[in-house]
Amino acid sequence: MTRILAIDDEPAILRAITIALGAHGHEVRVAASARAAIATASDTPLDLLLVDLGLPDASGLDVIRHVRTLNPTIPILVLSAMDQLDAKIQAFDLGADDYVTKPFAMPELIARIRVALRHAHEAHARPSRPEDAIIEAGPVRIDLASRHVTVHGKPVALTPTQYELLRMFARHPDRVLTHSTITTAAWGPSEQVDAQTLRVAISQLRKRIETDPTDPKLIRTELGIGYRYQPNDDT
Amino acid sequence: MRRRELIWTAVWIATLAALCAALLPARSQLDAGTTALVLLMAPVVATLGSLRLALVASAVSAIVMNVLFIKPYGTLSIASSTGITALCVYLVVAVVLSVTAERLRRYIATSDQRAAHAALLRDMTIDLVRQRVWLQPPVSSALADLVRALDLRGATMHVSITGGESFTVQDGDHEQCDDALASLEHDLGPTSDAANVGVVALRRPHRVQAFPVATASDSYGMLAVQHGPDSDHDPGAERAIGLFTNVVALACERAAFVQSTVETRALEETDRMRTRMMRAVTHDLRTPLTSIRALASAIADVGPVNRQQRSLVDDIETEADRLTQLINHVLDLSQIDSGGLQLHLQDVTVDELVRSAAAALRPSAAVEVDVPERLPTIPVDETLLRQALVNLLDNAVRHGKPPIQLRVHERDGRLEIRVVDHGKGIPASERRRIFDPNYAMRHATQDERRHGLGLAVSAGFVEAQRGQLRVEPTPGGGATFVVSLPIDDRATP
Repeated sequence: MTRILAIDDEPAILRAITIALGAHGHEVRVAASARAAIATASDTPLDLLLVDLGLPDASGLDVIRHVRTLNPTIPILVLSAMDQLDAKIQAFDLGADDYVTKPFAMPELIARIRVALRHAHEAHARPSRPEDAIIEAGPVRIDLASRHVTVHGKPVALTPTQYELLRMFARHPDRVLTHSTITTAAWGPSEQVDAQTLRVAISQLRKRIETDPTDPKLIRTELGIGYRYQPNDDT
Repeated sequence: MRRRELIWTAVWIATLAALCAALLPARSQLDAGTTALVLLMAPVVATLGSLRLALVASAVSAIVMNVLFIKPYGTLSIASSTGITALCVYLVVAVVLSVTAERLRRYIATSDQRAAHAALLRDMTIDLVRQRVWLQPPVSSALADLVRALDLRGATMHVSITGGESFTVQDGDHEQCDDALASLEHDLGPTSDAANVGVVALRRPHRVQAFPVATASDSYGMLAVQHGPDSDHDPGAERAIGLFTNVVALACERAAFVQSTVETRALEETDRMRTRMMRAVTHDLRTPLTSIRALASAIADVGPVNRQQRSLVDDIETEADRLTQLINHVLDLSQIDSGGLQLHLQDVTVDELVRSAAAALRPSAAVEVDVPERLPTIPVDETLLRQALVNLLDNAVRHGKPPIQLRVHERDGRLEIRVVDHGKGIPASERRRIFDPNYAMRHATQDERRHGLGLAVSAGFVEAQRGQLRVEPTPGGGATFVVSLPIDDRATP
């Protein structure tokens, strides 16, 4: 049984989440404020967090920041109103794994929770690999030592930038990565890379790894935010 | 004769008498030239009184010179040609000297007057320009200064700034000026419309003149002045009054501009407050909607539900979705109306954006997407353009018939995104009005209203990005909504 902490100041939403997730075998703890959430997260072992960004005593971003310092690997899902694009980007930059826009459909929330938990479980179960290890994420297989990449078993030649991009995506499957996170990882923190340059680089990478680059299934665009590598199309 | 002339006449006579008394004992030893030079002092002194006095002094001095200092003494007759020549030269020099002195005196007086006018206008300009909104006090004070400086009998000024101050200021004996302005208003309509008449001379017996208070583009009123005995027909005074009215007109124009800026800022602040309020209200509306939707979903998780209960839960979710969409449209329209849309323009190729819009449709509907491989980049706000396309696709799915097609192509320097359906189409008479939210709210059914708002939102989002949204008939039946966006030449690969 997984333990989920749902943080929202709306009792009806907490009640619905408790019932729905309880029915799917999760144990749900609730918190109606940032202070209560941080207290619970500090003294209770948890498997996943659902965080509303608009809390009465502080921003949900503060909760994410605090929880990430306690637990760098716990999946965090943001529950957000539609017009909070900047807050969403900040949430991802702070380490949120995914977001669900309010008002959300419960099956969608449950599916996103399932993906986040599976990914966390796989990351946890995977033994820590030395630098010569291999990353496998869906059809993509990367040999870090030889920098050899295959997609669906076929070798693919990548430029150094494309390789860095793909390696980062494969390390963070199912997670939304913001523009700034991606450019910092692929080009380094000192490089100023605009959105168009990143877009062109992603487009080139898609041509190498997607079955149909005009209808990408692996690297999904999150408009206004960034990209999500989705090796298993099950959301 | 003025007092000043009388004084200088006395001085001149005394000077002449003193000179004669000094010269008489030695007149037999003096030559005519020396005598003439000394006696010239008398007309020179007289020039300080007036030209008239100087000329009289010249003539009298000439006679005195002839009688007392040119032989034979004591008569007007002159014995020698030298004496005649000396007397003539004396007379000519005295007259020329008198005229020149008088001219000099006038130049100096005019120059002093102009300097005084310039100083007055400078001070008025500073006072009027410093004043931000309320002009009556500085205009009133400046008019009083003008009346005093130009020695006017009286003045009345009407000023009216549209949407701002309206006042009348007077100074001196202003009865004739009031009558003159009333008469002008009667003949020409409201004072502020009379500016085009230029300077008007009225009621000559009273020496009243009217001046427009106007800039090249706007009229603000009229000024009537009654000249005093010395300022009538003085071009310097008329010029100074003209400059004064111009300065007042500029101050009025500035006050009107400040007034409109203040109003514009107030309107902008109102719009910002409205948008903030709309955001707060819609956020507060979304919260219970989220609860309703989530609780409806949770019903099935509490225990087994039969088919009828499942259907009721589905209806609750559908209606919650409809309400959510309506709230979003109202918020979007509010932002479009108030100019509060914040654009995040980026040069993009729209292929991903178009596919993302097609994928966003709920319930998922088959949309045929046709995007060419090479597209130019265009500066757009991806989120707004995507939402505009989602609204158009939603409209096509609900009101049109499949196949629903989403096509992109380049035409005449613009990128066109076409949302094509094959339904009953839109009558020609409706094609312009369907993007008007007021029309949608007045004339449509409840369901159509929601879509009418969606179309209005799409139009607002597209137009905010320098684009156009129009609707055309689909060949064979149906409606084609066309989003047309300018291609930035710099961004074309």
